[in-house]
Amino acid sequence: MSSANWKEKLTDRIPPDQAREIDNFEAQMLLRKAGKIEEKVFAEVRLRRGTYGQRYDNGQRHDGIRTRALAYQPLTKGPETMWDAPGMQRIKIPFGGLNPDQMKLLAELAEEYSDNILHITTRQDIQLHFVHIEEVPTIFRRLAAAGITTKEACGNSVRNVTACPLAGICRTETFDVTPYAKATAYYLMGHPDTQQFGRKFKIAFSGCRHEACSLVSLHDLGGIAVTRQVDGKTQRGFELYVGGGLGAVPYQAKLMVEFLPEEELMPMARAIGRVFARLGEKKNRNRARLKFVVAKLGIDEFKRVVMEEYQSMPEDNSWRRYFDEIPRYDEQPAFAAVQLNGQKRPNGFEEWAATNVYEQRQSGYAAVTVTLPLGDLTSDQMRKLADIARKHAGDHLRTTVEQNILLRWVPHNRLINLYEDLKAIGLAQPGAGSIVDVVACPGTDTCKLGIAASRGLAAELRKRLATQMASMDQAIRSLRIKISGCFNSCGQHHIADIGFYGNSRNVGGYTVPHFQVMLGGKWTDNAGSYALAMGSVPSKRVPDLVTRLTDRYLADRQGEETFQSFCGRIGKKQLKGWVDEFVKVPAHAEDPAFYVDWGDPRAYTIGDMGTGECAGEVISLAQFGFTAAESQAFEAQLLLDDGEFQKADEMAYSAMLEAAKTLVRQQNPDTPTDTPTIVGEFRTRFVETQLFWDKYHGNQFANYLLNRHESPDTRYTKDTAHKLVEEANLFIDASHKCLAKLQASMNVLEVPVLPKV
Amino acid sequence: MDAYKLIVKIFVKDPPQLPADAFVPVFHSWIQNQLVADHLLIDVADYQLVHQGPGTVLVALEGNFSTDRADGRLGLQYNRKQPLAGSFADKLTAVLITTLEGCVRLEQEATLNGIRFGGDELVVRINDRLAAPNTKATFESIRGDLETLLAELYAGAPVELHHEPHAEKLLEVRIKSSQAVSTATLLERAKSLAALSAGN
Repeated sequence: MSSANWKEKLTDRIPPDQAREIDNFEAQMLLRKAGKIEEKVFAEVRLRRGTYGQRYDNGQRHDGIRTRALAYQPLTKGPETMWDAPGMQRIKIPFGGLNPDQMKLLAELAEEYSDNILHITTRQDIQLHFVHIEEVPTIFRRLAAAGITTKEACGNSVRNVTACPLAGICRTETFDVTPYAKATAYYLMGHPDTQQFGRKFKIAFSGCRHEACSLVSLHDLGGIAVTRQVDGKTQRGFELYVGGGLGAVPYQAKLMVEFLPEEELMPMARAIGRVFARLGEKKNRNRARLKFVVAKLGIDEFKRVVMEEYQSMPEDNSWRRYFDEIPRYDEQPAFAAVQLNGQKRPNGFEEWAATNVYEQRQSGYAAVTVTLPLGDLTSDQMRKLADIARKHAGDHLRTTVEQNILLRWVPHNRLINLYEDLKAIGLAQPGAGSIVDVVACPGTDTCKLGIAASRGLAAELRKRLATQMASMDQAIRSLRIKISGCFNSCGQHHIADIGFYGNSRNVGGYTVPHFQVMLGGKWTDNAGSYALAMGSVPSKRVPDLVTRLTDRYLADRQGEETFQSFCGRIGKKQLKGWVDEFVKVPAHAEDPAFYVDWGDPRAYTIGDMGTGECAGEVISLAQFGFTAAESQAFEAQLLLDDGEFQKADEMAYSAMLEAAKTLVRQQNPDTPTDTPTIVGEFRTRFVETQLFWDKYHGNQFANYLLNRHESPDTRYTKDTAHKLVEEANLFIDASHKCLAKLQASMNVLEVPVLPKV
Repeated sequence: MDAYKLIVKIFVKDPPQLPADAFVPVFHSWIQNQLVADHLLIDVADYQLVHQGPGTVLVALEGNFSTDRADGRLGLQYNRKQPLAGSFADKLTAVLITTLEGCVRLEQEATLNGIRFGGDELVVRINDRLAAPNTKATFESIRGDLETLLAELYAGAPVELHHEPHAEKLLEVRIKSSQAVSTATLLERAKSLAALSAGN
């Protein structure tokens, strides 16, 4: 590898402190290679630099016929993570800000070290996949020389600070939040008070309250720009929100401070960080986000603790260095504004402009969204896009949380030429922010936690919807679809009109990819409300379900009713009825296509499933029980909607008990069905034996039932009931998985693990 | 020249009508049947929605195969990731052999509607800007090795080498022979050359 030479070549272009950190990373990498530091230690080191593992890096993969060992050398870079297995490198792009030189460098890195693809994430980061660990120090050095870092792109740290991509040019913003996002990102990066977190910490800034902006409600810490008049002068500040988050159980952030003066932003963020480090859970990762601290203390008590910390924390004036830069932040257009007058418009231009061009606040300028299918573009496209930006827009670009790139400051008279240039490199697709612009996390393509092919489904939906776009009603066009490969919500399915997250179901002894349907999430109002689960449908039926839902919306919509309002008016019973039309899975012999996922022809199985008659019987009995549990979980959702919070809580608890009973009776059909016995038996047979244990989430799902049983939250508020309803759905999902494990243990077929030929 | 990150692309001749995802099951079958010698085959990545992108990628530890569509021309591309033994000429020959073996294997795939690769055109790139900046000097430093290899491959028939220095792009040499040779023949000749080199 040529790392040493790049180091030599870039010596004068890397800030000394960054150079030392990268040297240190490289030294630790070499120590790990020599077996001189523990794999766990090196795993934490690399994760804090955004160097992740990828699917199959444990050295095992099902190839569609059998589970096969991948014969890597016997060296690891973390627990169950083989050294040579390709990994993912996440690159932090604070507030999504990029310039053309940086884009060209990123293009080079994707070409030389990845698979020639750059992937934009839902947090405005850029990811490279299939990267070898030994190339990573060189990647860091080349990035550092271009002013980019991967520091704290993963790990228990402050992740990429996001901001509205329209900040500074938006027609409705209070003021430009960009310099505040930038200052906060760099102030907190590596700060001693952010190094002892039990879990990640996400921050976002929005210029407006009512647009989607940067989705403040789903962040640990979020600021919405506000002003007030003090002694005749306008003072800038932020509405400060805390304790939001998606993940398995989503929480809406709570308003902590109605007006936080701008100069208090960074010290307050530090104080919140210190409280999180002190009070946040450290052992149980599944309860370790700030949202659990806020929920446990309540917002008033949390605010009191933070204010106390704010007053008493040791002095640290380093934030002033960043704060003093804020007034100097200035984005100037590269070209004078000239109106688009009478120029001939090429075919496709109007359609593209209708969805991809945003009229800036500054007269004569527009911002242009470059739509990237699934957030991907090639190195060549990125390089050429950098040239196009410089030719028509200048140096100020942004990545977006919808996995696109935004060119800002395009003079109107250049829009047509820009369109033609984008078209020449395949980046002039219309439909930005529309139903076609489907957002998806990596899912089973590369993510170790992926359960279903979120990208495969997104690609299929995109292809189908794109063909209908021209004749599509505007009401349908403006819907958003977001897909996650599992319940961890990286695809932000909770805030989509129509969202999906991957799970699986057992049918006749086979595992079938499914997606949980989430309807009625709210993208605007900074992710104003979350969708609720409507039940799971087989992956292969999702496109037809989308057609069904959009057809119904179009037919039954009243006036300008939004999809959220429509869902609310129609009611979940009716919506559930539409979803239920698509739940049936044909037998494997009848239609084996249901037993593979989108974009992946391998049989969807973990390789050790069988079709024994005994297992088949067990499954049918179990499915009966699970269906009852799912019905109860749905009833709980309806009760929640009706404001019957205590009843919703009790029904959700009952749903979990039903699923637990189903499992317990698989092992002992004579188990009495009273609650204490079911919970006790569940604990003995499934928790203590670790049959319910999840590789990545431990006892998280089991604890949903155990905690509700042992110490119910008797406040019965909307939040507590909503949380339990979500938990019940996840508990039922986990029960399905557990059943698959049970079936496997009863299966007489053994699938060989073959060595590499 | 000690670069080993070599890329070879061989173009499909008169591409047949194929569904966009036609290569996905093919590459999965290569993994199932362990069809690529000396490669630890890992996974298949599909980028069919990306304009003129890598198409379908067969990811291996040693190097990736992709059904590359750069410049709108479909071809099989092999991108070496791990070091190879021997001189630059040996490395280039080895990468060429791996690519040609992939082409021959695809030509035998029943599901690909008789796909054929043109043996009269190759692209060679060096995927290492530090070791091989895209300059005239770098090109001249590998020209001799290239010409020796091509003389064997095309049995002395005239061959044109086209190179354009570029500050940003990878070093790339486009090779065009006046002689149409099948990929099987090219593979046979490349293997003979490798055997001869190993004997020396």
